[in-house]
This record gives sequence, structure tokens and C-alpha cells, in this order.
Amino acid sequence: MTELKIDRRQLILMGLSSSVLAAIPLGCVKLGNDEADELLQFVSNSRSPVDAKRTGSLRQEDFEKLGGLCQYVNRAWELDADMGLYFNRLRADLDFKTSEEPSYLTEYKHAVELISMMVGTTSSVEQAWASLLFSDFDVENFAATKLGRARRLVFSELITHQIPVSGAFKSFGLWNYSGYFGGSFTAPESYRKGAV
Amino acid sequence: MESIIIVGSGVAGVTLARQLLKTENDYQITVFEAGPDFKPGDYRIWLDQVMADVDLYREFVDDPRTENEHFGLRGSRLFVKGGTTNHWGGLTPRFKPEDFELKSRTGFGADWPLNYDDMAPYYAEAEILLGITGDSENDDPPRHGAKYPFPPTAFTLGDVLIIEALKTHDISYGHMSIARDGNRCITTGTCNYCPVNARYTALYDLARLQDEYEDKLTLKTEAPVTKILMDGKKRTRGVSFLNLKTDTPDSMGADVVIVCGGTIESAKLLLSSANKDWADGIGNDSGHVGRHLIGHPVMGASGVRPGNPDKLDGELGFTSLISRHFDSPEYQHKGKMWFSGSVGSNSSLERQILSNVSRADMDASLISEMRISLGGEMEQFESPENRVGLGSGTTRHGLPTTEIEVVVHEINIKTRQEHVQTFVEILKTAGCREDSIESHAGDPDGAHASSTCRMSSSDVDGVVDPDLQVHGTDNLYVCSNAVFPSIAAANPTLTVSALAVRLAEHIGEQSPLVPLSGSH
Repeated sequence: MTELKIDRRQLILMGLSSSVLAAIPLGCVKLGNDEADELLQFVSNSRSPVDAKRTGSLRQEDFEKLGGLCQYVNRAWELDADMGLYFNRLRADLDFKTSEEPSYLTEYKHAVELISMMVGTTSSVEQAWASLLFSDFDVENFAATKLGRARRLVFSELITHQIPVSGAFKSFGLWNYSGYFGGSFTAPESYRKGAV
Repeated sequence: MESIIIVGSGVAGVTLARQLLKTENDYQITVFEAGPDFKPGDYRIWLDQVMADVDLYREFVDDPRTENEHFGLRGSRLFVKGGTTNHWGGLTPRFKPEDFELKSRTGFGADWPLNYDDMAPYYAEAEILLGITGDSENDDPPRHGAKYPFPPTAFTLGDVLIIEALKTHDISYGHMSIARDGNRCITTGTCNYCPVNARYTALYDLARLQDEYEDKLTLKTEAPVTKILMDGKKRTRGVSFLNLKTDTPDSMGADVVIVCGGTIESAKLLLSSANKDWADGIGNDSGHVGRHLIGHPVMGASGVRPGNPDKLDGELGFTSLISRHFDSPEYQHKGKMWFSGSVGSNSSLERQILSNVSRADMDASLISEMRISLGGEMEQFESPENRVGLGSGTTRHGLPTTEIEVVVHEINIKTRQEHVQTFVEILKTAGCREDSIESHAGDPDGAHASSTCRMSSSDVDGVVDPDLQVHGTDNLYVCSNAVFPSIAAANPTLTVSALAVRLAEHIGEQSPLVPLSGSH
């Protein structure tokens, strides 16, 4: 058995909202050897996406599993973004990332496999995401593993997209954010909305 | 039909191409670019920049073999369609009247054989061509009624905070003029690669010209020009170039050749084109080709101010505030300077989430403090000992490597320390903790390199005449920062664009050109 080094105490330290915490049971996540092997399977040392020439469209069910990360972050960090609106844009943008080279299709497929496995293994979606994002592994060359690559090429990129594009930064009281389409100063949809 | 070769697809070359093509003259223009093609305003490229923080231009920077200790070139210019405007900041101040009289007023450097009033109408036209936002009411330097095409960008909330400190020190300020289409910009802050082509790039400009003048304009990418070919001493007949796609040498004839390869490569091309008539390089009988190299020393300071109740952060991806207070005749004898400022926080939201920082800690961090930064560029005085030369061996583009010798004038070194101390005083007034303030004052690099083929009335003092024609030739021109006799305290792109507009007008007036013998 492999024990993931993230538990409720760590989640409290992360400052997760009380509703999210309530959904997470006490104790660490215990993985079977097969699951641990899957997470830590060597994939590639390349910094670029694997199978970058394999283009195609992401299946809707796979898109929804990836989108689960954005919903988790939106809840856990209380971002208050309109996720319905955001998902339309995210879907279109992920299609750009899979339909043109370098294609992320295989990297997304690997990430979806890990998400499915962890959601099936842990007792809550919150715990699954916390484990996927923050658990520690004492292995060599973690960055080249299936989970290491998913963190860098998929989860990190999705959150980096979500903060500006969904407008989530506004919940922090910020006016604008790199990547947000605010509109011209001379147009009504300007990010400042003529307030200043 | 008159054939014109333009060497270099940066802002000078593209401005020239556009201005020539829109005349009634029947020009056939070929633009040579050493670097590869690149797509403007491509959504996927933009998406990768936002999501994956991809360094879009890593493949286009200088060959490591051109790097040197005292005047860094790597990252300061790009070898790609559109040249360095792909990653420029878009800052477009005009030079001031006194900048054209440096030698007369200070004894340093050289005067321009043009004055501000000669340049003013071309500045106005270039401001429209580059789509500049700016304050048309600011008459320093005089605008003679010329209007920017777009109104100035509003000051950000961070600017307002810095402005309060400037007022305390009686330091004047204004709106930055910037090559950013005020109607098209969507304030997305990713100006390093604009998804809607609001920031001016020669890349996008050239792509539009290719569509509009399909039959009259040819772009040859991955085609570095290696030599200017001459018929006797006075007339160029074309260029030799390398086809990097097929790894073969080639040549092309033309009625006119205009070298727009930037300060480093333009000088190197004249030097490497030496022949029996020009033993030391074309235009180099008086030894000025490659000499007088200058750039802008960059200096700055930043500090931490406790408290940030309004959560001020970087609002835009470009600068909206400028002070030209120290860019005045009173400072000309020791080094004029412009500066700007910004306010920001220390860590991105996504980085904090990915580092497992709690929402409560993120909120607390945002209001706990802010970082205020000031930065500027100073005029450097030239020296004939500062030079660009041909190194041994070749770069990945098949061009000679670069040798550079630069010594910064001791007056400039002293003055930049004074300017940095001014920054420190402003930061203290703005509320920054004294123990948090850090400053730097660096030597110039290749970003605004200038003056290696300087303009002069006589061939004794420079390389090109006031019409940018190489002294002693009939149909060879240089249009680049290389022709600046001095660099002022102003980013050079607007001035080189204005010179390109002026040169296109001059060439238009010369038409019909004397045809290349045997080519018609």
C-alpha cells in the first residue's frame, strides 16, 4: 500500500472552505500498488507534450473531468466565477490545444485517467483533487511521471487559464489580470467600466 | 518597373515598403529576412503564451557566438519576420529639438544634419502609421498641432500613487505615447504577443502588405544577405544572399538597395561587402562604419510599501506614465533621462494556488504591501572607440559573428548614479521602506543600439547623407538606428519610422530610377 501524504489537517492549513472540508473524511488516502504505479509511471522527460502530432477533439466526458479541476478550485478558493460561461470558453480553448500541433490530446487523456482513478479511490472529489495537486512523492524524476506531467502540462495550465479567463481574479478585488479580455478603453466593456 | 531590395523586415524595412508601395510608382520590392516566418495574432500561439508561459521568441534571439561581455545582444533583438518589434514595449516618444544639436550644445558626439522641424511632419505621419495613443495636448516637444490617432491611455491607479510622489518633488510627468491601437486593444496585458494585433508589430504590418500588394511585394525569409554587389564604386547592382532553406548561395539584382538590418547587422553588411573599390567596406573610406556604437543604459529602483488597501496591482501590460523631467536641455551635458513606474504585487494568484496558499493568506498578502518600481533610460555619449566589427566564423544564419567594443563615458556613469538616487528619493516619498529599496544601473545593451552608420553632411564625418544615401554611392541607402548621430533619451523606433517615411518620399521623388544595366 502507498499512503498519500495529504490529510485533513493539511487541507485545513490550505484554508479550504468549511463546506469543502466537511466533504472530506479524516485520515490519509491509501492507494493500492496498482494505483501508485499508475500515478508514478514514467512517461517522458520531454518538456513538450507527448504524441504532439496526434490531433483530435477531446471527448465531452473527458472535458468534464478536466473541468472538474476548475470547479474544485472555484469552490475551494471561493472564486465566485460564472463557471457555465467559463466552460464555453474553456471548451473552445482546449479544442485549440488538441486540434493543432503541438497537440495536448495524449497529455489530457493521461490526466483524465488519473482523475478517474483518484475519484474512484478516494472518498470525495475534493480529496481526489487535493491529492492530485498537492500530495508528495519521494521518487526520482517525479516530473517525468504521469502525475508529474499532468501537474505541469495540464493542471497548472488549466488553473493559469482559469484565473484570468473566468474573471476569477475579480473576487480578489483586482481590476485586471494578464490574459483577461477587458475591452478597449473607448468601449463599454472596458475592464475599468469607466469607473476611474 | 523599378526593383528595390530591402534588407531586413523590421519596422524600418516594412515602413519603407508600405510607403513606397502606396505611391503611384511601379515598384517591385523584395524584402530579405535572415530569420524565419512567424504568424501575427494567432490564437493558439497566444493561448500557449497565457497557459504555458512559453518563451515565444527563444528561437529567434542572437546566436550565442555573438554574445559579448559589455554590450549584450542576446534577447535585445530578434531574427524573425517583423524583427524586434515582435517583442518591443511599443514606447514611442519623439526626440526633442535639442537632441538634434548635441555636439553644438554640449561638445559631445555629433549634431544631426537635420533639425527637429525637419523631422516634425514625418514624426506626425509615423505616429499615425504606428497607431499611437498619446496626449496631443502635450507640447514638449512641440507638436505643431499634430494629433495622435488615439487618445492617451488613462493613468492606472498605481500611476496615480506614483504621481503623488512626483508632485512632492516637483517632477513633471505625462502620458506615455505607445504604439497601441486604442480602439482595438482589449487590455489583456499579454502585449508580448498581442492576440488582436493592437500593439504595432512590423510582423502584422508586413502580413497585411503581402495580402494587399501580392504582385509587387516579395518576402524572402531565412535569406540572410551576405554582401552588397557593386558595379564600380558608385552603383549597387543587387545583393548576394544565402537560402537557408536549401543551404545554397544565391544573388538578386535591383535598381536600389536599402539596408534596414538594424545597427549591428547594417554596419556588418557594409563591412563584409568590401571590394576593390571599397577596401575597408562600402561607405567606409573615412572609417566611420561600425564606429560610435551607443545604446541606452537602463537604470531602476524598487521598494516595498507597507499596506495595499486598494489591492493595487499591474493593471496593464504596458506603461502608461512617463516623466521626461530630466530629459531637458539642462541635463543634456551630462545625460538626459526618461523614466516610468509601476505598482504590483509579488506573486501571481495561480502560483499561490498551485503552491497551496490558502484563500485567507492570499487575501491577507494582497492588502499587506505593494512593490513600487521606477525605471528609465539615459542618453549615452558616443565615442569613436565604441565599435562593431566582424568576428571570426559565422552564426547559425551564415552571417559573420560580431565583435563589439564599448566603453561607457565616465560622465554617463556618474550621472546614472544621480538618476538612481532620484528614484530612491521618490520611492521613499511614495512610502517605501528604506531597507526594502534596491537599485541598479546597468551598462547599455543592444536593445536601442545606434550610430554605427551615422548621418552626416560630409563623408568625412559619417556614412550616410541626410537622405540616408551612403556617401559616395548613387543607389545604396541605410535606414536604421545605425544612422542616428546621437540617441537622445528616447526609444528609437518612432524616429527610425519617421526617417523611413522621409526616405520613401525621397526615393519617390527620384523616380524613375536609373535602370540596372541589362535588366530592362
